[in-house]
Amino acid sequence: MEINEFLGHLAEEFEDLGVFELTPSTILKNIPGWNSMHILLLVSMIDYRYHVLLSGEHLKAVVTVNDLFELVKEKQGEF
Amino acid sequence: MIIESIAYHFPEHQISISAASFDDEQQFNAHQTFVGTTVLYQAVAHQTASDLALKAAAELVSDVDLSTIDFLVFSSLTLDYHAPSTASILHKQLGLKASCGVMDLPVGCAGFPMALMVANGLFNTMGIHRMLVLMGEVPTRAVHPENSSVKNVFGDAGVAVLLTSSSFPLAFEFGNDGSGFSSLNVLRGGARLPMDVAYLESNVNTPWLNQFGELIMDGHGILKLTLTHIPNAVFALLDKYGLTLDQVDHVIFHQASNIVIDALQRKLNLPKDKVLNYLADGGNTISCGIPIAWAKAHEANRFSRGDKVLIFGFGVGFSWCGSILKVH
Repeated sequence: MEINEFLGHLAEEFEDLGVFELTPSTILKNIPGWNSMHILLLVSMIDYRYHVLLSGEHLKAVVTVNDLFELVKEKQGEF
Repeated sequence: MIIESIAYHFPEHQISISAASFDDEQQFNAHQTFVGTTVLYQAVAHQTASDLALKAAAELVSDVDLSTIDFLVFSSLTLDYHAPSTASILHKQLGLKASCGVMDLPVGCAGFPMALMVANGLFNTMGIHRMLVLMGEVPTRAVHPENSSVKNVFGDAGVAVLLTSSSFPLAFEFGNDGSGFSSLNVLRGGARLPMDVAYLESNVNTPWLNQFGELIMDGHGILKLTLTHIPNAVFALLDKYGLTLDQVDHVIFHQASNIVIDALQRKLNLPKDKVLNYLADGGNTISCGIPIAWAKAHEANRFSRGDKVLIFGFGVGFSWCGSILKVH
């Protein structure tokens, strides 16, 4: 899994938020229009594309896009 | 077993969900995308779930010979009394015969398929031929106006469904994961956590919460339980029929929210137009949602005779139940 591919998948989920720049250091909750329900969209996407089902507990320490990327990689490694 | 007909009733009081319902435009946009409700209906103070079900039932049975109805199931999480059963009260109100049996089914979001499963069992083992399944839910009674995870999501409704035995065999797939307790619950007012003076006093400005308690939902927890169990359960159900998803004409999941329905549609690789979503008008009406979607699809001429419809209810518990029926 590459970070650029991951960024692409995230950007697809955020189409409803319009155009904005998404980088590994983007802080998720600072994305313009970010709503707690976007977390659910990420959970759904990550389950679908990466077969990792994240819980609220898992996501507590996630701040940036890169944190999320690293978490998914780590969870994929557990299988 | 076949569904002969369905009638539904929404209470008169409408709540229109607009940008004015939210702190800002972005929250409204997120609501439209992720929840999807535009109008909710709310029972007034003196209306109970059974009143809504009775309205639907009266319409449904207006030209039915009531002596042909052998059993009544009432699915609701908001029953009239602890005892007697609300189904017993509805039996009297409808004027059903004394040999017509009754049963309440307070199971929530999976209530409609579970009621069908009960009906299927009775048809197959008791030699009866016609049943009435009623649903009534008033979840707005349990919604705190400051709880953003449940407000603007749930609505009240009543449904009546007339079932007849047939030679078309049905299968069901069901299950439960009790870890869902913390993700969706209404804890007050039962034996484990009675309403006490402190609780009642805390609701001076929200007195309706003293009727059934307060609905708490962890949307993330429910989504995770849904994605953990429902896709596998759908495939197990298809196996029982020897069908693939391609051979099913329509899918009706519990009408929970756009995000839950869309997540399942994506995970199961279902074409969007095969998955019915009637959340906009009425919202999440617990066990009423699947039969209302069925009735609306019928009204919109989306169903043809013989179409195979996969229904799957899931939620509070976390419990689930699904089946595949043919359109009559």
